[in-house]
Amino acid sequence: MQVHLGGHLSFYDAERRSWVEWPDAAPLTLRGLAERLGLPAGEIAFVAVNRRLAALDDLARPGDRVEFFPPMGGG
Amino acid sequence: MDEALTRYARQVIFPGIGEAGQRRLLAARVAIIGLGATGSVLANHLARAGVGRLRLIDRDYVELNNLQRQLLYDEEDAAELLPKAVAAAARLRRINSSIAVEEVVADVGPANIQALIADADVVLDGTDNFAARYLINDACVKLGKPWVYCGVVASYGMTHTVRPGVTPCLRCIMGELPAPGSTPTCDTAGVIGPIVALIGSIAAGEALKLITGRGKLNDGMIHVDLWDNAFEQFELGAPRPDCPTCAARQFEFLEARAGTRTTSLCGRAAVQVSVGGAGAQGIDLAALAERLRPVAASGRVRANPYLLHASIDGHEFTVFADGRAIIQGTADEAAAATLYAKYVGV
Repeated sequence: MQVHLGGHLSFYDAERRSWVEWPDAAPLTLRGLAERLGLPAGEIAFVAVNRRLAALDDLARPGDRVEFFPPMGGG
Repeated sequence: MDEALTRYARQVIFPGIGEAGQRRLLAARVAIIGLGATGSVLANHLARAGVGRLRLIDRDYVELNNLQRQLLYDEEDAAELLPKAVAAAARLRRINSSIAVEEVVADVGPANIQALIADADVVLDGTDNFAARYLINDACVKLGKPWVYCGVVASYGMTHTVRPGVTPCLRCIMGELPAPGSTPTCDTAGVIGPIVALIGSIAAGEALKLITGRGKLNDGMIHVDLWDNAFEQFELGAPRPDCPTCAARQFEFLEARAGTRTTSLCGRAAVQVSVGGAGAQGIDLAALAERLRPVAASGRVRANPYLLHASIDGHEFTVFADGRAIIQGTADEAAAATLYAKYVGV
């Protein structure tokens, strides 16, 4: 599974990567995936699976492309 | 070509607009809420394109550190501490004297937003915080007006065009108001001018399409990160049938049950700022302290389990674990709300 840590969320990866390869295994919820990656749920405003808006309770499956983004509040 | 259209010849020749489209632009009314970096780009494009009536609404004034990205302003505006709405209107009148530009120096809130957008065909988001955007979302959904969300931080940004009843509203997409302190802001994470110009230009293009009724609108969420050279558009699907705003028509930000609230603390030159509603779920003080350290005086942020304290931008910030803040050094509630949005984030 390819996982994108958009914006400042890459800071939660020890190597500051914006894309990480999550080992394909059993399906898990996006919330569970975020927890395992150390992403605080409160800092995720937008999540997409295979380029479609998803909810944190949706399942991510092996082979999916998952993208997490923080709130983009400036202007 | 009609003389009134001559100055717009290059976009009248463009088949997507044509003479009929230009006449629609000249007859249109657009409200731009927030005249910072994004708002500057939006207003600049629409004034030059000949949108007949522009209402520019902003609560802030021009500072020197705005000039790196806020394209309508100059050093003179900053030296004179001009309100952004005033400086922007003056600049736009020099660019296009044939349109009507109205400046409104005000903090947009539940009490005034419906009046400010009542006659607008399109509402554009030039704000810098989610409390204001959720309020815009409430008002536009209630009144059935299209609006364009723009959000930018650092080198990345997003934009989506909300057409009530047709595309998902902001609440459909993002759910509850982000918790205070959870969002990096342009004042804590920085921002570069080109990403603002890019996202603002996409949104201005959406306004042209909404007004002319031509072209393909952005039904998805466009995301760009210039530093990663990433350009994406995500599918959003239909409005959520369980959305509290556009399905249940509960307008909690408009009804002032939620959103940013300010209270001037008499005799202290201080203002209390709080964020209420479903999104107020407390604040991670340790994480906020880390974000504030680079902008705090001498890099000093003191924190305990109950509050943190820092001197930033000439003001004393005391932020409590429940998200409430007391900002000393001003008695101006709008200024305190701006400081809260800049440094704590909503």
